[in-house]
Amino acid sequence: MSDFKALLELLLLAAIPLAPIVAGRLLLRKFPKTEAGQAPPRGARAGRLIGNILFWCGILAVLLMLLFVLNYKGLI
Amino acid sequence: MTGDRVNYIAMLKFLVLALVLPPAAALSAETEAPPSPATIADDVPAGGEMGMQDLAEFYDNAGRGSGAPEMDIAPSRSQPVQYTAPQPKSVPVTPPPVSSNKAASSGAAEEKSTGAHGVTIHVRGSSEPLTFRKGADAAAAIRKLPDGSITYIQFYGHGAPGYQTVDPAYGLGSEDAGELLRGKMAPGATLDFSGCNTSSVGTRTSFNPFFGLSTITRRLVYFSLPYFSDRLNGVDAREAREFWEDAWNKDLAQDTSLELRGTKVCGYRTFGLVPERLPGVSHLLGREEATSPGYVAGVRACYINGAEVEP
Repeated sequence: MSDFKALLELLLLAAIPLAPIVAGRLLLRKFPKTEAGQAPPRGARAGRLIGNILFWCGILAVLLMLLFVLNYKGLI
Repeated sequence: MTGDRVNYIAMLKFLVLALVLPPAAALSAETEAPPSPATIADDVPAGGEMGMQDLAEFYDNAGRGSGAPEMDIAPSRSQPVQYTAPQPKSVPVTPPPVSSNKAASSGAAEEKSTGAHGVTIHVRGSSEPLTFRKGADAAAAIRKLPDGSITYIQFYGHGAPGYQTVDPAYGLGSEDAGELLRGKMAPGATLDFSGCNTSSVGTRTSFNPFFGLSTITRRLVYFSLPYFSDRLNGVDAREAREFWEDAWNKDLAQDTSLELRGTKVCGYRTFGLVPERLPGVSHLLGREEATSPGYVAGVRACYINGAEVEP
């Protein structure tokens, strides 16, 4: 049981930086880019903005964690 | 079955909590142990007298032999050197050369650079700080200083929970720092551990996402991975959990402040990112062998007599 808990914790912790990436991607899919000249649907601009922020913050979070790990390994 | 379901629910709650609140707060609240003055240098390995080769080369060629093991701050119970410190028992009587602005060299001009690290000491009555590249040289010089003379000292290098390295062959835990500096610090002096995770994550709620990410990484690197490494090596689950639950969040700064009464001891609650240490940047700035870090992106914590004070 202790191993299971530790494994679950490991997966959850590792998933945390990925959560904003997934959420951002979902939002960007939900609010796709509109063709030029078309009026965007209601809330699309805000949805895409939030989606982009979440997506790129998630990417940055993963990169930062990699940086921490490299630091921990003594490479940086 | 019921127990399993309850655990799933608890884990789900944990995930939601970790996403909504700063993960650091959720983690620390769950796992932080009460501060303990207990130290980690109890089981110094036979090979723990690090830096002997360097010392021998520099001083009198005595003790040349096996060579010092590389300091590895990666967590592994099969390598207890992680949480043990080289005890500078064999510090020579002759003080090493001390430079003012430039890092002291240990005599080998052609020596390959090991990156930015070192010790900086401000001594009462001197406007120029003493700087050392090697921890062993600094330790020798500190032992020659009069009591109450150090107003500020900074150990700069890689850190880990409960441990600070200065160079690949020298590091120290709270007991070692206490032994080395006891009586040497002036009233109101500050000791700075400029290394990652040299303080615990604390219990204060933080909304800083970098703090959360750092804490997650710390937990993964200093608990999860070594726990599974131990389990693969056949260590009992309870024993492994107890050991790493204690180890991942050790507070070197707080423990040292209990060793050095009256001295303000500071460390980092997070990984500390030193911009000028990034590959390429250090070369451009000419700071490849700097003995102090300059700007550090990280969360500091300071203690006096075990009680937290403003950094």
